[in-house]
Amino acid sequence: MNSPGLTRLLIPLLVITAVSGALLSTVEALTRGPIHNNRQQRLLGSLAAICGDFDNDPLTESWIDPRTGARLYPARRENQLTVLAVEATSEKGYGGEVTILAGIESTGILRAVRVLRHRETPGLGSKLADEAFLHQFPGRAADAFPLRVRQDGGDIDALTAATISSRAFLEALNRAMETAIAALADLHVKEVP
Amino acid sequence: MSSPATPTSAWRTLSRGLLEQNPVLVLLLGMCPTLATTTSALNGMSMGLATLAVLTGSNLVISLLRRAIPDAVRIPAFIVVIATFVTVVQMLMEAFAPPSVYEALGIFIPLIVVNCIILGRAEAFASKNSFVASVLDGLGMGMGFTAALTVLGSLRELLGSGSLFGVQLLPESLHMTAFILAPGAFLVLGLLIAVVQALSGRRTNP
Repeated sequence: MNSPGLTRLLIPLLVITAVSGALLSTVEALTRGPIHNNRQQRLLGSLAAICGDFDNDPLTESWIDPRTGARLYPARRENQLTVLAVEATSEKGYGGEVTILAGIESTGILRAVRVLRHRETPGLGSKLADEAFLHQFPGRAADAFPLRVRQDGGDIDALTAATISSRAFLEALNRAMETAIAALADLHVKEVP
Repeated sequence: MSSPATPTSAWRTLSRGLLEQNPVLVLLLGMCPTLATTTSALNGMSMGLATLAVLTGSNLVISLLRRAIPDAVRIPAFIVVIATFVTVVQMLMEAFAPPSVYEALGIFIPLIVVNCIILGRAEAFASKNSFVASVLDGLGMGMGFTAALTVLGSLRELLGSGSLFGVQLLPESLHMTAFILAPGAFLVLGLLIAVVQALSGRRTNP
């Protein structure tokens, strides 16, 4: 083995990988704060859109339901719970996980729902996030759940040629509603004097 | 030292990436991200622009380092440089770009690493040419890539969703969903390549 030759090859590679590694960790440290803030901002934006007016901080008061794994964000006005926002995920999307944020009023009625994250086909399953699909959900009461697409006997119009995406969305939404109803029942039990 | 016998003008370095040596339609590089991200005109254009930025940057860096990298280890060295560049761009964008821009481009940026055009141009050009020429080559190839993807995305969006850049143009009965999916992508891309070959009078060697 030509030792000096090997060294001559390895040293530039070592320098390049060392500099790259240092650069990456520097940039990661620099951007960690702003990236975390941006993610929180996006979540807050979605919460505001879903829960209407509230005067508490749903993020710090959030908790995870141990049964379903969904995260709940309570929105309150003058210490009264107005809307419970639930972040739920389905793994059965066409491209992977579909994560939604659903706002359920204390009366059990679905106020609004947004898609937080998905990996569906752009231009096809990605239309889950469009108003044209989402408009059919606000106003539905808890007893209408679990919701199903027409193909499965329900009354939800699935996205054209994106039934798998639609079913995943509904699985997440049904999970969210189930979590919310259980949580609301628990809270009412606690709040009764 | 550049390979051609006659010195290439700066304009030629910049412009040949647009049509004569379009990376997608002539050099046939970067097909996978091309097919995957052209489901709409806007997606195609966004991917093209993100790739343009990375391609120009990586050509720039590799051209500056070209005398420091031994020939035998050049491919691993290029890959490390390109992957680092893309990761840094992604982190900076998620941290500092306006939220709507990041939402639109976010998923495409990691895809750029597997785009053969970047490694292809690093190997074929940036490692052998001056800093200025390499930057021009990156810009030209990037613009050609963006143009090809925008055209491809527009055609697929029009045929598959009846819209263009989100503006609805055709009624739903005329939409052909196959064009948003893989078969349509291959069909439209193949036809585009044929059209470009016919226009430039090229003939395949038997």
